[in-house]
Amino acid sequence: MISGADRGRDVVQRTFGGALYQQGRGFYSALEFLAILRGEVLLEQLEETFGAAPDRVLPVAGEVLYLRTGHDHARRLLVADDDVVPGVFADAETREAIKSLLRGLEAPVPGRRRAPDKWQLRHFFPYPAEAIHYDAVESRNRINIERYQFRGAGGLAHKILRTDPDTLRLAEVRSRFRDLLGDSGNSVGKLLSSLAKHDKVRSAASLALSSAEEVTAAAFRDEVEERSLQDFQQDANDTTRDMTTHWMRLLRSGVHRILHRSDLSDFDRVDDLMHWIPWCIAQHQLAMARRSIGVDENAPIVFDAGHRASPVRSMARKHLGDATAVIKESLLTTARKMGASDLCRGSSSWWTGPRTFYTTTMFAVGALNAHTGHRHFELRPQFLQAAVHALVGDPLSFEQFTGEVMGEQLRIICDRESALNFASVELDGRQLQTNGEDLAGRLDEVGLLTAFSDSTRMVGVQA
Amino acid sequence: MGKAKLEEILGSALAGVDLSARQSNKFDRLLQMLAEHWGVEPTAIGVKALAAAKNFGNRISEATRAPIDFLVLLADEQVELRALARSFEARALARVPTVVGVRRGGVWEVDSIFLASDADNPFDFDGRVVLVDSREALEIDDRELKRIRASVMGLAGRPAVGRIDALAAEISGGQSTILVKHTTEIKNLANRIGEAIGQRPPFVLVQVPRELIDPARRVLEEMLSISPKTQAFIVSECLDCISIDPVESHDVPEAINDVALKDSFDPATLTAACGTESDAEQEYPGSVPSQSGVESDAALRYRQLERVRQLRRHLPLDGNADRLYEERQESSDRLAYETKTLAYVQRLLANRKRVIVVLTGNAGHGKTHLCRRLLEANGANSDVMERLCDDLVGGADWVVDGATLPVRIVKDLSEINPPEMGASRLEALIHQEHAHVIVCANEGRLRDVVSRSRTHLAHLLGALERGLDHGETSLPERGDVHVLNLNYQAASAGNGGFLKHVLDHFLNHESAWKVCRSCSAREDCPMLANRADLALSPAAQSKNPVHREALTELVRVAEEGGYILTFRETLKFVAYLITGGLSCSDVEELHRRRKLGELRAHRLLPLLFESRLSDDEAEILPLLNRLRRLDPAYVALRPVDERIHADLEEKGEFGVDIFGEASRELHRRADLQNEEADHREAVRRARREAWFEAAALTDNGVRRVDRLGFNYHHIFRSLHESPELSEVIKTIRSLVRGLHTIQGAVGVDSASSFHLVDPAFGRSGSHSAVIARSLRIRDLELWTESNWWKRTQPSGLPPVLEAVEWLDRRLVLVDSSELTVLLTLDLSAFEFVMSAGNGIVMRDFHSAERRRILRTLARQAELGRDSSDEIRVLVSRGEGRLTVERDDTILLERNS
Repeated sequence: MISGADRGRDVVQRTFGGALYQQGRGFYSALEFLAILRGEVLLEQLEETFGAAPDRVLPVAGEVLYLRTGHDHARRLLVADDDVVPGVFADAETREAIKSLLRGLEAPVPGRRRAPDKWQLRHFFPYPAEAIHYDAVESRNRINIERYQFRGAGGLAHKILRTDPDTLRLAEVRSRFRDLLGDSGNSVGKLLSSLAKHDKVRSAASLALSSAEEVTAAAFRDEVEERSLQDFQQDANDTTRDMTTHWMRLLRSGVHRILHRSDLSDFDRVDDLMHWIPWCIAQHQLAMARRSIGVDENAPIVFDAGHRASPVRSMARKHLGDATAVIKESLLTTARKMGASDLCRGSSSWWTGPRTFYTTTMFAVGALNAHTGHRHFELRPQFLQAAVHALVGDPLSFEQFTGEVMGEQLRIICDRESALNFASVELDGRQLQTNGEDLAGRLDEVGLLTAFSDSTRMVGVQA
Repeated sequence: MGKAKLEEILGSALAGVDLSARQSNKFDRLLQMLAEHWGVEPTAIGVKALAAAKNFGNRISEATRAPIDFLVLLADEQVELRALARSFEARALARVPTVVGVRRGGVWEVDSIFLASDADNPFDFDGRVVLVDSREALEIDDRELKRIRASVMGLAGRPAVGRIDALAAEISGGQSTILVKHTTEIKNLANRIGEAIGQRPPFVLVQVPRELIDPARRVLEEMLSISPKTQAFIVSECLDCISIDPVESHDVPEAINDVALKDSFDPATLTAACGTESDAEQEYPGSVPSQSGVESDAALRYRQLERVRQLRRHLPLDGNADRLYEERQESSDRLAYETKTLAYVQRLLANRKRVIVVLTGNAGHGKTHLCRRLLEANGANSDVMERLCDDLVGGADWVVDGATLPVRIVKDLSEINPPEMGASRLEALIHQEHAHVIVCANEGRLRDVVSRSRTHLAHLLGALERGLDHGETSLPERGDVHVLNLNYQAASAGNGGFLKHVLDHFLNHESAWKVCRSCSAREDCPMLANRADLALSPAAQSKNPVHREALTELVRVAEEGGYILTFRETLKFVAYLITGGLSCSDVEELHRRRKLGELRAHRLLPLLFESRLSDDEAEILPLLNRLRRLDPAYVALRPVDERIHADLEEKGEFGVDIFGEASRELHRRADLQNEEADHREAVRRARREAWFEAAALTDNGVRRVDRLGFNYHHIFRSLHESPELSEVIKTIRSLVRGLHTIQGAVGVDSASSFHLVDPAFGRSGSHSAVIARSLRIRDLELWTESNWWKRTQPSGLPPVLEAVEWLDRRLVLVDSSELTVLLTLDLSAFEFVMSAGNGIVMRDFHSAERRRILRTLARQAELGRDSSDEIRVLVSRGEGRLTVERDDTILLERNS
């Protein structure tokens, strides 16, 4: 008999095309995505050493296979008072020095006031590539590499990228990811590789394998990723519905641009991906939710950029309330269509997770003002930076940026120009203009806008 | 006969013309034909279409705003002649011979003629003639005149609340003896005043904002000739009080000398209301009995200085800053200042091959001025401005002295709208081969236009960027395209540059200021005092060269810190610095009311460092905001402050010693706080004065620039002037120490190596990090930007240095082993890094610089690939090496 929780998961999968849960919120989707890709790059490299040359990175068809590194030794060190593996460090001073260095490499967890006590909840920022790792759990003193925080949002992003119909772009993306996610060979990379040798769960890359077939057999077969989108598309009752959203297209083009910008360091590139991928997945979730209940999936959202209470902020708060309500309603509607009306009457835990995924992800990427409390959509510097790097190639005038990028592409209303793309906005022009000026101020603060004396402002020019 | 001809002209010129269409040129043909017919210039004829009767007055006012000889009013239906006559009567300016044409059944007919009752009919036909009477002045007796005048003058100093109408009605007792007009815009000034004077009332009050006082005075002075008996007053607000400014006609001295109107005030001193000694400088007596009880008030004489009016015409705080814009100037108006750019462009145009010259930079650098000078050089052309303004798209071929080909000029790319059209026009000009091309474009507009046609115009931006990186003006593959970025131009370059020139021009001529010697406000006039501080004339104070140096150095420090000061803003700055936005009338008003504190607030130092402008006004002169950050009042230097305290105590300016016994007498906290505030204010004032009076290096070893809050400016500057090698090495070491601190690398060796921390640790707040790359300090070099360009250019002097008034504003830190630029530092970034090297890290204050520096260093760090097995780390405020042994154990060795 299928449990209520399992049926809830099915509903979520059918509604959004991926398993979008609270646990996989925020940066975890990007971490999962990069862990899968790094695993593919490693598998490809390992197979090449045995003479095989299959394309493992973002495969168009076939299984999704990759190697997984847990970095359990380094991550356990973060919370340990003593040696995790005896004899690794020559003395206590060395251990403490390494711990101090590792703490500097941790990925931020937006919304948490203090670092978690459990090492499973501590992740490294995915730069350099050697720092990338998969999830791991520990139970009964046994460590397994398996999903804990990585719930499938990164897998969905991976699926979206590898199903890019623009094959030329896909090839370029693969090539750049191979460069970005191969071993960096730098000092930090060497240190992390050295620590990984003492992991309890060894990656296939470090096992003594003698043929490409053995390598392939040892690789991880990601069934969750493979299920992403497919279940939705295979749903016999919904064959008329298209899985493609505007955000999938934007995810592909944005990742391509971030990888190909010549003005970014690799660190900045990874930082941008950490924000851009979760944003697109969260917006994809909202678009799918809207579509499933017959609401315009590309309806705009008002974003606040000011520093004070205003009608724009009130509208941004209302739109956030609308978005979370739509997500809930879409899940309940899908459940009814799937003949699981009892889910609607029972526990709410199966639909609160996806809803929390949306809000916490938006906060993590810098699109929401706060983690809890009175919240509204807001354009924060980290998101603006990722959006400009993902969508602005050659510098644009500020008006073009807000009209074409914020309005047309990101479906964001933030000033007069962006509002022109949409039929009705319940805000008057003066309020939007003020918000636009505040946005210009924020772009200026992060060095993404250059103002000239003739009132022309260009976005994308490095100050 | 004449009427038939006129109707023929109307029929021919207006065939198919829709009177309600919003086309500015719909009457051009009619104007041409009428001008020929009447033998006048087209500009001497006004043509307007009439519709609703309620708008007749507005149409007439618009048409007669500029002086004209004939007015033609056109309508598609019968005009209400009575309403039209009323509109004429109400407008003194509108008494020009007027023809009213009406289209009936598609045929144009001359309906009527309007003439002033005392004017001859200039037309060769009669038809229906409407004579417009000038309204007769309301006759009132002398006693009533005196009473009303005294009452009006008595309004001065009353709180300004709303409009003046109610007060005027109260004074006139409900009679229409006082006509009140209001306007807030200069464009309506002449019409509103004309409407009032046209009714010939005994009294006219014109209420205007302060900035329109001077223009209103000029207009009133002219128009009072129409109604000599009218007494006019300008009403404005000054410091929340009503200010009353009587105006007398220029042309009719008898009116002013009408003792019946004047004797109650000061008949004895009525001497030279008109025709004073020179130019427009005037003296006139005090006109209101003093409220302050100062006996000599009635004998006060105030002067109006032409030089102040000129200065104010460079300051857009009121509506008449016509001297700031080339388009509004006569050729003879300009400040004669030779720029390098003009000579450079002339050299380019002397090339045999066709060249494209793009003059870019911020608005106000003098691009239009340069085009005009170029065209008018050696008398090749004259009065070009109008033609230049008409030729928006650069269609005309100009003959320029010394140019090998005709020259096409786009005066301002911003005027070609939309930007897509600007892009296509630019493409067309670049593709043609028969003429040189000069395009003026503000940098923002240029980038915007190029973004619309990147395929064809990208090389323009390429040349612009090449200027930033190499000091060149063109790309090697497009040698015919030159982009001159005037943002490199500095107003304080060389020996004071344009700033010095402007100060000299306005201040040094003694004769231009001599009339002030007989002004009653001379002792307290801030403008005169400001001039006395900065003029370099034989009669000037001996300290003035020092003052000038201090001011120039202040502006130069702002420019070295990255501020782009245009020539236009320099003019505004100087005008503000001398006048403080006041006119001679304002000074008189304040002086009369004994507002000496307010007058002192317009002295040079408060103007420089204290905000007196509203937010909107401050946008006109953003330099002031930048200079305020350099205020010496907020820089505490022990040697300076000790002397200041000693001086202030000696002068007894401290009042109660707030730290001493006497402070116990101040029982209330508020008293003590007030005393502290006075104390603080006195010290701040004294610090500013000490800076202004200080020679470059005082005996206490405090440099003048140190008082602006810069601790390392002298090093920054010395690097621009042939420094000793040992000094350069010492500075490089300090910079390296600072860059280590900014990266969080504390306690590392900064004597021999420059470490680049792995960017993975950039977001961490801890002091532990991995060193990604190290450079030997002996491989590092520090250059000024121009010297670096010279070093890397085989061809010698970078063209940018020849093309603009250059000021080196940046230093370049170079890895000489690979000839790569590691970092560029302007004054602000240099100060930040040097301070960090000495233990003071102002992360928030310099957050933008910090972010830029870290990003640049991150890119440099990623270039390093260390092949050694050792991992160099920074931990616990020290440097060490992590070694991975063969048995995979890890060992930390601290560097000794």
